[in-house]
Amino acid sequence: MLRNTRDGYGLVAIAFHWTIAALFVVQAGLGWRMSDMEDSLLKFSLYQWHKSFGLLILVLALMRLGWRLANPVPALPDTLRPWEKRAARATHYLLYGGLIIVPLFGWAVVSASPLDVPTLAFYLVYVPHLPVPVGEAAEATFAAIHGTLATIVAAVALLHIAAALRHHFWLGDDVLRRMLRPLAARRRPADSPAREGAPLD
Amino acid sequence: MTRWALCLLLLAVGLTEGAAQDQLLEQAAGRYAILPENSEIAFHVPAIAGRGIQGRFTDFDGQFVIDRRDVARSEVAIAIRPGSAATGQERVDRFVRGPSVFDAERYPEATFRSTAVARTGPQTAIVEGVLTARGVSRPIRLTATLLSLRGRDAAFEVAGELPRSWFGMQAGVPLYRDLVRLSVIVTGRRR
Repeated sequence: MLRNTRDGYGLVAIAFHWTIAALFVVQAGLGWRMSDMEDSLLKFSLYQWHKSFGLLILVLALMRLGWRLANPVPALPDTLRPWEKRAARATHYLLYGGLIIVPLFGWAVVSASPLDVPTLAFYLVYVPHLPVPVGEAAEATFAAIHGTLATIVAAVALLHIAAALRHHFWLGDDVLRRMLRPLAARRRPADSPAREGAPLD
Repeated sequence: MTRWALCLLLLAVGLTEGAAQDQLLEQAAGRYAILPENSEIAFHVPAIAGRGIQGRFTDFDGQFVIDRRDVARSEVAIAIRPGSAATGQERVDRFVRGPSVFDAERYPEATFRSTAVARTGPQTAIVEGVLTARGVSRPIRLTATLLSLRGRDAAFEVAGELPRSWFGMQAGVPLYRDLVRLSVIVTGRRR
């Protein structure tokens, strides 16, 4: 139930997936909205929340990577052609990588900024700066990389969503469903003797 | 016998010091106009880590009076234009001058007016007064030290700490402390 099998995702992987997905949506919205705001108290607050959510995503993404390495990866449906499997795997690698690298570049922006604004994640946890060169130029460079990579990750995420919807509605396989409920939970009605005649998948 | 000698000695020291103080006061007494070019009003808001916010006001004026006979009757009044706050970082300047902190457009002037001066040593005093900033007036206490008396010029170092929230300027708390440290050098020229 908690761990993955070759056939489906466990509860932990599913929780990681949707928690990070929700955080990423909030984070992208914040990042997009706050960057062109006028200097104000609201802008300052939004930056602090963006930093907090970004660090949370980084921590969760690293934990998620560890969990993935320690678990079997559910196989893709055999109905997929090799290029589709390769594309799916590449998308997943890009998302994993992006969810770690984008927050790191965000952290570098904060650390390089001559404004030297300290980080207190969620107003609770003090997070020191990264050892990067400090200055307007370094800050601008890191910010450009951070923004570009974030945009790429958002585009890959859209591709990932489109692919999931294609699997569900067009190809009719269980690729989306298995990220919604653990395999055991999906199997239960079928396994139950009370529901005779239910197809055993 | 030795006790008497000690008493006399202490009395003598006390008298000389008193005389020296009075002499200093006599020399410093007068009405002064503050010379902004020889003065500095610096502020520092400490942060949980790093340098915090350091800056200064470049546009201010004022005057002070040192009473010939009684230091307690001395007075000081300073007007600061917070729109001149400068931190060396353009983004911070905009933030500090803007509605988040000083709101310099609505409150173009902050003032300090002394209400009491108490001498604490030959060259030091505590200055109590009312600071008005962002439309709020609060009694505050500053320490003043005489730095130099040269010709018609008198220079003092003035320091104090106060909570930013008193004046509705708690922006950035808790990353930045609810505290501003003022360190001021005022040079006045006798009129």
